[in-house]
Amino acid sequence: MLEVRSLQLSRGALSWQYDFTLQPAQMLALMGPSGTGKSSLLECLGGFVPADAGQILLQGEPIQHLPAEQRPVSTLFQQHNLFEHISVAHNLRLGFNQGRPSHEQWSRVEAACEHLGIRELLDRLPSALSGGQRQRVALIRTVLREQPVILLDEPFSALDDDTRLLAGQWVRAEVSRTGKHLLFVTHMQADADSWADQVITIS
Amino acid sequence: MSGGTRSANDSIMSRPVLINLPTNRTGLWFWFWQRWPIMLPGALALLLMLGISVMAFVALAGWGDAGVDTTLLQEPWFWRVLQFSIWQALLSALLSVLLALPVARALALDQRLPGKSWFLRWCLLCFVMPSLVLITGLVALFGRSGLLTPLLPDGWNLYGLSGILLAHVFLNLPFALRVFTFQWQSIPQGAWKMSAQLGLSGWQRFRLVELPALRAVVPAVTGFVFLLCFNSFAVVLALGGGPRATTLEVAIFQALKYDFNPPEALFLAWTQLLVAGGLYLMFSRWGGLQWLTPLQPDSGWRPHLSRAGRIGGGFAYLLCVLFLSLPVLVLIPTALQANLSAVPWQEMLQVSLRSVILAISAACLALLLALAVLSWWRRFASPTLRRLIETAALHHLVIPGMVLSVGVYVMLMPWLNWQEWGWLAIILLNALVALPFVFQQLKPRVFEYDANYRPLLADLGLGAWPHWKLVYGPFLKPVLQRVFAISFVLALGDFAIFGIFGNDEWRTLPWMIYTLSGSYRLAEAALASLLLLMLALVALRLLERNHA
Repeated sequence: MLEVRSLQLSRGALSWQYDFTLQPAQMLALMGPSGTGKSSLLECLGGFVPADAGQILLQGEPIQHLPAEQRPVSTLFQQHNLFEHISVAHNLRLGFNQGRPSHEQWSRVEAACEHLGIRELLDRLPSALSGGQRQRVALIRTVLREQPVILLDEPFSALDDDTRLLAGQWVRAEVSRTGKHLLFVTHMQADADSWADQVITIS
Repeated sequence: MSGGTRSANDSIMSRPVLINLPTNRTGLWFWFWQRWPIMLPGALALLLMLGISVMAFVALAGWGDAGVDTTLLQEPWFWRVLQFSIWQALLSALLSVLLALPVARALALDQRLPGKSWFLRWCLLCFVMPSLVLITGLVALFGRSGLLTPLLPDGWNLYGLSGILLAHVFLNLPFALRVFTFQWQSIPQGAWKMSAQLGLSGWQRFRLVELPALRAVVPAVTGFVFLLCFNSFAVVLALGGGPRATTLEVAIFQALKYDFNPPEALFLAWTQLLVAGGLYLMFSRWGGLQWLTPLQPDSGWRPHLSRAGRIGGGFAYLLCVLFLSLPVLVLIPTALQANLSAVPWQEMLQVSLRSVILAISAACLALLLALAVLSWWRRFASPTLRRLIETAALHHLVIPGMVLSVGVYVMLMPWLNWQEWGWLAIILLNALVALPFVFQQLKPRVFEYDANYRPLLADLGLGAWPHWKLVYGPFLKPVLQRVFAISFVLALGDFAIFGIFGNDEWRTLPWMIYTLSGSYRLAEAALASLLLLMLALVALRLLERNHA
């Protein structure tokens, strides 16, 4: 279980406080207008922004003191998710066992690539991909990494309606299968209605 | 649930997040103790770089028995040398810049000019060309029995100011050309289109569009070329023509090597350091220069050049091509005149191999030092700390190679037999001389890497070796190869440092060329020059391939 207790964040003159609990295998959607601290919350959970006060507990253990590299978190950022100078396959491998995925892990990656329609792009450089293709590659690596908490910052923003549906279903199935905790930021009410178990709307 | 946290060791090794240093002393020690595996290479590199400079300074300050001979201030000879050093550097810089401007404009704006990218690649080679190769070519063209000497006025003498200017313009005009061409090319297409659409005259367009772009680089290029020529050694030593045409750098060498007069050498070295350092500090504020980038393809709209402008530019281009190619091309027929059975092939091969090994070692060391220093630089958040590290990495720009060499030579002379250990100093000092260039080329790339990927790297939590092997190494590889090639060529052509630490029984290729020329064996010198040039070309080919 992921618990966020009285977590206070501030950016400039703005400040926010969060309190919520997320059960394993559940998805939480963060909604609200731009500039209301949704991404800041994800950055704080990922260890990139310090909290002013409060606690983040995973299975009852506090994790807010851990640096970003040691947090049990896998993040999809809004941009710069792929290294531009190495191939798509190479980028995907980096998420597992220091760049050396096991046979089973790689099979899952390949199956996900097949499912999301990017199987034939593995040998290309990211610069040769469209925005939607890049987003799917990064999404696959983020979701399949063996971390109990997954943070997705606008994961479906570059996808067309059909791919959005496909990707959303796949993410939902993976979270249910692995029992991970997933938080995602979205501007689309339909995403929250379709996939989220909980919705936090920040005004 | 699968997953969990990574090991603390892995994360410390790969930590790419910015570090804020603890403020108390105990915290600082603990902080270093925790991170010594990643901090040690940077610390050793900085210690080595600063230690050698301090050592040179201590020696120059007159530590031990040798004092500084300030009586030289009363010697007219000293003032003549200083005056000539400045005068030849000023003329060389002005000529290089003024001649480069029209050719660069033609290269950037005349889309019909042939062979532009080849020419700019050739310019790169000319800029880093070992001086001794050029000097042999100039002697074959303009020397006493040179190919073109009959066409020159009576009383022409290559040795003296004219020869020095010819060589300095040959070496530095290509640099100015590359910088100006890139600068002209970087003018946005929108500015050209707007000037055409507003119906601006050629002069108005030059004043409003081209001049502002050039104003940013012309003073910096002039200053940089001036400094290079002020510190020039091989050209002045070979073409200087006696005491009337000597620079400080050569005077230091002669004071130490031939007269063995350390006090005089120390005074001259201090003068050199103060003048060169002051000049560097002055023009380093004028901004960085782009010269290693390959020529951009002629895409996009460019203004139509007038017929006169096109013909003038084309003619300047042709003259420039001839000027920059003839001293090298002439080496081929000159080398063919060599009596092949009298050529010391065995020695030439040995000397070449020695030069290559020394140059590879120096280039590798320069790269390792720069990477180690950058590993520190990228881990600190404080701008002040970063600036301090940068200053430590770049400070050898201010200390000319001759000053550093003299300092180290004098300081360690009582304990080290330079006849035996000179090779170590040659590698180390050549690496230090190349280090500022290597650091400056690598830093923006490392900055870009951190700016783009810092959060992603923290999220992925790769260990040190997988991070290097899979991501960081491949990212830096093109620029590492580029700086390696340039550092290799610079060290390959080294003449000054070897002049201090080397000896006749243990020569490098540039010194072999110098010795052959000095004993009037021009054909053999040309052959050795071609060999040196080929080695430089191979290295630079590597560079260009990576640009492609």
